[in-house]
Parts: sequence; C-alpha cells; structure tokens
Amino acid sequence: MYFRSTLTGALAAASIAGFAATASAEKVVTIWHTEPNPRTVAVMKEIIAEFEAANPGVKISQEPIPWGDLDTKLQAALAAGAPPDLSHGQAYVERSLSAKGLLLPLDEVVESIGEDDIYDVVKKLNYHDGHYWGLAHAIGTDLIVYRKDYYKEAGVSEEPPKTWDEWLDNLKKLSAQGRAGLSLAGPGFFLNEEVYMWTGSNGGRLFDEQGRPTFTEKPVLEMLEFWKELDECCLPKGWLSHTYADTFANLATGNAAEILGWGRGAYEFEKYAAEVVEAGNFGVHPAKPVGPSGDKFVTQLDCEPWMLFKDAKHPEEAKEFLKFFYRADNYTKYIHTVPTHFFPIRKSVRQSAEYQSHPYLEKWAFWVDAQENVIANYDPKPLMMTEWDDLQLPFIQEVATSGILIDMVTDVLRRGKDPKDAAQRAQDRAEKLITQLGYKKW
Amino acid sequence: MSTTTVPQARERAPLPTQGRRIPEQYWGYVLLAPAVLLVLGLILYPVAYSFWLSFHSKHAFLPIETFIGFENYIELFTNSEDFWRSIELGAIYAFGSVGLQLIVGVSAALLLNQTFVGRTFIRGVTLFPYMVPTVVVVILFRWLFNDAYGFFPYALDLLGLDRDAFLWMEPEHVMLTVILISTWTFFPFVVIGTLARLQTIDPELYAAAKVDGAGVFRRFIHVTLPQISSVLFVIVLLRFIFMFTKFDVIWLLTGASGLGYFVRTLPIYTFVVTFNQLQVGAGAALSVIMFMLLAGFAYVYFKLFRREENL
Repeated sequence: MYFRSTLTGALAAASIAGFAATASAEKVVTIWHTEPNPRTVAVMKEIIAEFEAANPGVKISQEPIPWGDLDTKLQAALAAGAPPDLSHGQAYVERSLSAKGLLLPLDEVVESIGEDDIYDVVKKLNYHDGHYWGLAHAIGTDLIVYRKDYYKEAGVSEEPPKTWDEWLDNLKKLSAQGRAGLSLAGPGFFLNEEVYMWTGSNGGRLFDEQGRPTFTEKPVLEMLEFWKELDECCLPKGWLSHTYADTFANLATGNAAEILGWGRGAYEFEKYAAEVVEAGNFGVHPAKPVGPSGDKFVTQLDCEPWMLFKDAKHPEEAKEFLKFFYRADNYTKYIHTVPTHFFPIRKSVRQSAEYQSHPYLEKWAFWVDAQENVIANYDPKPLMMTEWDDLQLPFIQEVATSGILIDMVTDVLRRGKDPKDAAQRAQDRAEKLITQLGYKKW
Repeated sequence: MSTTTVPQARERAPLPTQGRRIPEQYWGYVLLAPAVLLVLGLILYPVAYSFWLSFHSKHAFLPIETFIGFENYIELFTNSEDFWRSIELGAIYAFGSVGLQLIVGVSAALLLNQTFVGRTFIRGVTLFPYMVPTVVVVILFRWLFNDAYGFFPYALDLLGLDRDAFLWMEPEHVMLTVILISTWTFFPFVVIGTLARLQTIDPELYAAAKVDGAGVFRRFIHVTLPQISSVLFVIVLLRFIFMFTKFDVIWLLTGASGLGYFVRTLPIYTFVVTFNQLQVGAGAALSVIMFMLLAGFAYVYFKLFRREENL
C-alpha cells in the first residue's frame, strides 16, 4: 500500500515537473493566415522549421483559415479573450482593432525590411497615428477572367466592356450559348466585395464623411438594379450557394464564360482544365466597366495585413518571426507558392532575378501584367473601401460582418423587394448598429 | 466451572483529527459539496452571467459595459423584425426536422425489430449517420446538392426532368434541405430509443391482438404505439430541445452567405448578433429568450402529454 501510493505520488510529481519543464522551455507563437492552399502551407512549414531551428525554445503553430471564415473566427476569438499572436485580416479589421487598442505596432518589422523597400500603396494601408499597425503579406487585385473560346462562339469582342450596359450586352450574348455569362460566389464575404466594388464603380460610396451609411443614394440603388438584371439574365440559377472555388470550376468546365477572379485561379485551371490552358483560351480584362453614374472603376486590392495582438502571449517572438518571414530568401519562397496572385510588397524582391525566374510569371504574364497595370494605374482599394478615407472609419468590420449588406442584396434578388425598400432597410439597420456601437457622428 | 466472559463492545477508536471534528450529521453535505460546486460553477454561473449581461450594452471585445435595464429585451420585442423571423424559422426547422425524424426513426425501428438476414449489419449501418461528424455530413450534402456537379441534380437529368426546376440550395428550398440533412443525421437517435423499447414488448400482446383479429395497422395503433409512447415522450422532448438550439448543421451549410437569411434560426441569429455584430448584451438577451422559450415549451409539453407511466 505504501509502495503503491509512493509510486503514484512520484509519477504525478514527475508528470507535473515534466509538463512544467516543457511549458517553460517552449514559447508557442500561434499564427493564423488565409492561405490554406497546400503549397503555401508547406512552404510556411519550411520557413517555420528554419525559424524554430534558429530560435530554440520558440515554436510556431500555423493555422490556415479560408478568407470567408477569418473575420468571424477572429471576432469570436477576441470576444473570448483568446486571439492568436499573429493573424492575417482585412485592412478594415486592422483599423477597427487598432482603434480599439487591441493591436501592437509592427514598426520594428518594417524597419528590419527597410521602409524604402516597401511599396507606397502597402505603407499607406496600415500606417496611422505614427505607427505601422499591420503589414500586408502580399498584394494582388481582382479582375474579370474569361474564356476566349466562348467569346468567339458568342461573337463577343475581347475588348474590356467600358460600361455596365456594354457588359450586360456581352453577358446576355454569352448566356445565350447555354451557359451562364458570369459566375459569382455566394458567401457573404464575396457579396460584400461586389457591393462595394460596384457601388464604387458607379460613382458612389458606402459611407459619407461623417461615417453615415449612404445605402439609399442613387449609386447604391442603381447597383442593386444592375445586380437584379444580371441575376435574371446571366448568372447560374443556384449561384448563391456557389463557393469561390465553384466559380473557378464553372469557368474551367464550361458552365460559365466569365468570373471575377484572383490570380490564384491559374493553379486551378492548370490542374482541372489543362487543355483549355494549353489552347490559350483563358483571358483577363485589364480594366472593369463603370456604372451609369460613375466615371472610373473600383476594384479590390488584396492586401491582408499581418496583425500582432495586444494580448499576444509572445509578442517579441512573433515580431522576430515576421522579420524572418520577410527576409528576402524566405519571402521569395512564400511568394513563389502563388506567384500569379501574390505580388511582393518588397521592391527588391520584385526586382530580383530569383523572384522573376518563376516560370508561372512568364506563362501567366497576361494575368500578372493586368494586375500590375491596375495596381499601378487604377488605384484599387481594400475590401469595403470605396475611398481611401473610409479606412478611418472604425466600424466597417462590424458592418461588413453584420450581414446587413448581404440581406440588402438577397432582399432584392430573392425576396422580390424593391431596391429602394431593401436599401432603406439596410440603411436603418446599419445606422442602428453604428449607433449601438457608439460610433454615431452625424 | 468455567466462567464465560461476555465480550465487551469495543470502544470505537477516535478518528485521527487535527482540530475540531466535523459533526457526523454534516458529512453528507461535505461530500456533496464538490458536486454542488461543480453544478453551480458550470451550469448556474454561466446562466446567471448570461442574465446579467442581457441587462447591459456591451461590445464583444471591449471591456466596456453600460447597464441599460430591459432595453435589449424591449428592442428585440418591439423593434426587431429579424428576431421574430428567427423564432418563426427556428420553429419551422425544429418542428419539421423532429417530425420527420420521428416518422423515419420509428419506421426504421419497426423494420429493424423484424427478423431478417443481415439484421445486425443493417442495424449497425443505420446508426452510421449519427456517428459521422457534422462537418463531414454537411460537406457531403453540399456536393450532392451542388447544382453544377451534384448527384441530385444529375439524377433529375437522368429522369429527364429539368434540373433547374428544383434547386436544393436556393432560398425557396434551403429550409427543406436543412431539415432533410438534419433528419438524415439525427434519426438514428430515435431508432436507438424506440428499438430498445420495441424489444421489450411482450409478444403475447401481439398474439392476443391477432386472436382478436387485429391487422398490422391496428396492432401498431393499439399495441405498439401505447407501448412506445413513454419512450417517444422523452425522445420528442430531447430532440425538440436539440433541434431548436441546433447551430452547426445550419451554419456550416449556409453560414454568412446570401442563403443565410432564409434559415437564420434563433441560435444562428444569436451568434450573428454576438459575434458578427459584436453586441454581447443583445446576444445574451437572445440566449435568455431562447432558454425561456424552451422552458415554456417543456412546461406545456409536460402539461399536455405527461402521464405517470411516462416517467
């Protein structure tokens, strides 16, 4: 009896001591990122392994999360008081969280890269109040991707449509060939994308200077009318349930003639529609059409920043990891996992022979060049921002994830509501939400 | 002559104690205390905290809260179309899916109570949906229902029907789709309970009914149903509570998509308000209302259907 209890006690003590030793020896830095594709995850694993080897006692735990799920997951984690150490997020998330004092600056990381080596468009995204509160992992832009063979079949010119009317005409001709003219993704995240891009391309904005929603204004109403017409003539009937990946599949397999797509699609096409790629039948419009009240188009700048949380367990180690991540050799390796989508934020990497040696940059040059042209000349904006000033609004995150804009769209497209009524309902709900959150300034 | 010594009752040795002994009559309370504390900590405290939060205006991740009394409740009851809609959709989902689970589950249990070759195997297979993780079930059905490459639309093609005439994942049908997926996933719960009871019914009851000339249907109505009613009483109560508070199936299928509006039941709406709109106070008020509704339902249900033999 004595022996047994002594043994049990010794084992328990040893386990506790062992656990305590492990716990004190390892600092686990948790990072969430929005790149779940296997190539990027594998390269992140390599970078992490090298970092861990160079920093004994520090362990990095990566968790890839799809774009559309990140906002909700992050908000739930913050509400529970258990955020990761580092995470990707949208630009509006960075602004919202830094305004609430929930982030730590990344000045040291920027300094380690060299401020002059970072493109201006990247710096202006997350620099405010004297600090860098985030830093994009890469940039890219959203464009219209189309099938050249279907254009030919339908007698549609490959010139990018300049107006929504021209675009609708093209899409109607394409739809007449027995497939959807355009395939859109149905998750709310993507509906928000369309709402702000099309409203911006129609000369409108979602919030005025005081931050009051402007959903009942003409550009938004016209956007809803346009979407309604698009839905009736040219979208697949069940598109609201289609994922973003489904839109690529629709284009690759001939169910649609156009999509709104990001450069990562090149990999999907290589994999699932190699013969279409070989035949050179994918094309990308280097510009987007504008609405009746607009004079320049707005498209999305993909620019998810890394953010370091105030409640991070190991902020210093997290910063060290980011410095390591942005080191030219590691960063090039990361960018090369999806070179058709990830544009490096470092000028030196962009100009390096190592970066430019990737075969996809030549093979998919038309897509890469089109994005570069838009980024350089057409001032694309971050998600939900029709104007750069919108970055100052600290409640965009709450409005974006509230479902208010999504309901406005489905009210018109599926519940048969008049755009004016749907917009008024969304306006009332958004005003109420902003007021309840304590951000009302009008 | 020998003398017999009557053994003296041995005096109980005093328990080794340091300080004052706990009087014997309190030992029961002492031994119960850990369990009571566990219940208080894990069940009552969160419920009480939820009540307390519901009287506040609180942002989800800012440590600022303002006491606003019943304002969250007043706002929900008087000024929230979404709230009333979520109750309506929640009721449709709960009643619809529980009803179907009962029909399918009891039917399956009756079949599995018969003797046939491979019965054991089929019984095992029947439990399969209940064992598959919900996320796998939802992904599976998303593929099956996908209008571009799913099996069900393809089956419509094979039957020469218009695949666009019935889209499972469109607003007008998505509630039915969610109900069917939930039925498929959870009907084995009904099977397990019902089958266990069926196996204990005295065969002589059926024999007597047959002698009286009762056919299959009448034997079911007059013998089987009364015998399984006590089990069904509990199953319906539990399943209704589970389905009215069901979150995962609906959220994983529609999430925050454009379809979400059409299946935004009370638990989903509570999640959206709490974690997407970041209004914890209003979210807590919704969870309190959900609790009250279920308590009310249970009370009425007991009043209407409870019989002594059910308990």
